[in-house]
Amino acid sequence: MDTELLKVKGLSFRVDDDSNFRDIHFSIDAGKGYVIVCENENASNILLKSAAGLLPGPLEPGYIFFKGKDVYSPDEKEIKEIRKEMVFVFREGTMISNLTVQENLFLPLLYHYPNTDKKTAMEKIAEDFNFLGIPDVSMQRPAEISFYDKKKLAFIRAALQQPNLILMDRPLFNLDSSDQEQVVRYLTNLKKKGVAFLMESQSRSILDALADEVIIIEEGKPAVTVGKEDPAFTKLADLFR
Amino acid sequence: MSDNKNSRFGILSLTAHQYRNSFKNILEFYLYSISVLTRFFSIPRKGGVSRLVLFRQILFTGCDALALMGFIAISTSALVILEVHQIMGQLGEGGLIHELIVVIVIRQLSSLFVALVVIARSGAAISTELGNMVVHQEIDLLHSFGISPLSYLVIPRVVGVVVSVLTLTLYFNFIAIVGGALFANFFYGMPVFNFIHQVIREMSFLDLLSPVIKSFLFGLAIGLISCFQGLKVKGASTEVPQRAIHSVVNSVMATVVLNIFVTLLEFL
Repeated sequence: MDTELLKVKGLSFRVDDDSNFRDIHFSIDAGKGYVIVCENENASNILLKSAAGLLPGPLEPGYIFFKGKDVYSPDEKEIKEIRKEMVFVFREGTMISNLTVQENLFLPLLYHYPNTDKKTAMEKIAEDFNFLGIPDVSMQRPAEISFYDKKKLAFIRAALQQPNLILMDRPLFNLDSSDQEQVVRYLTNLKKKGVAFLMESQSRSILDALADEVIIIEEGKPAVTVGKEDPAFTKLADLFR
Repeated sequence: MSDNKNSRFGILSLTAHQYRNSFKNILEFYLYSISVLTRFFSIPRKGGVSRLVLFRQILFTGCDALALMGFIAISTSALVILEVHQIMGQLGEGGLIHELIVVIVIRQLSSLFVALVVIARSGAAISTELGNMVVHQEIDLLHSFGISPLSYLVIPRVVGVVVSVLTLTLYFNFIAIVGGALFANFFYGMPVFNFIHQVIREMSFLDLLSPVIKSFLFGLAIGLISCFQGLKVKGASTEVPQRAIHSVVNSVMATVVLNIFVTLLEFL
């Protein structure tokens, strides 16, 4: 059975005038967790967003595939199919500001699954609110809620879609330790259900809980994927906070 | 001397740069308008996520402006009656009042006034809202959902503005006629139903069609320009008010030019 979800092959990009990253290859398998490691933080961010198909600028199409489909395909239907199963969680927990929290949570869900039973979805949302310690903010606008809650809501929104792959830009960014703990537990549960993760993170707890492999990218060198059993993984893990 | 030469070249190069930018903007707007117009009637579908955006746009642009439009309609009609009655009464042509209400208010001013109010209220609001969405990465968020910002944000807004301008123009004309009749009755003792009957009698098919065509075109221009300017924001919040100003200025210019163009066509 083919378990490969995302495949990046021969990707090159430039971060600034001095830094060139060339010929990056790696693939993401179903149900596994991957952390991108790079000294240049901008490079790992660009790589993550490129893999998500969110950076149209400097990249040429045909380098990144999700289940064999080009993530930069000009075909809207194909993109919709990809986005149904591949979700991106932004660092700031971005939400649509003129929609309520509930409308925000339902937006991608109803777009991809118009016949969703709202009552069942609401029950799932209430459960997740409880799990992540979010007060009932369903009817509030994003501007009225805290950054922490917004960030946690982004995970709930992602999970509602029941994706195969979640890409995360610094999942624990700016969260305090108790919130971090809740989020890690939540993501671990998702992983147990078979969700794969590709993320940029410098958090040790994320690495311990979610990462099966790390993807190391260095300027001018091919990307290296290192598994948990590899001594290099343990060495790297010590550098995480 | 050489300084003068340099500054002259500086001005020239700046002008060339501005021309290049203007040309690029026009081309971008043209391509964007084509993309919007090709999808104009396909979206928002029943059950689609953009339906809510459409309803909210009609509520804000159309329904919320009813009181203001009614006030402007009555005032305009009253002013025209007042002026025409004074001038034409002196010339012994008081009967022209109904014809002039049709020509000035219904054919010319109704769609223009509605367009100007919609530009001031909604055009600026749309470009500011979309500009802020760009700044706060909300457009990227929509991309990450696989939702096209054109389908979700632009088309419902353009359709909403077109529907609102059309409806508001019809409402403006209705209020202008009824309000004008009440004003004429109150100040000059003209019977209300007789006044309305006379105005309707003076109306030709073209008088009815003209404001409809104009308001459709004005709504389209306002919607397209406002969304385009909002989405042109690159990432700095300081660009948002600048784009809102561009949106208002360009929409006013487009409305005036379209008004002249359609009026000229009427006389061909």
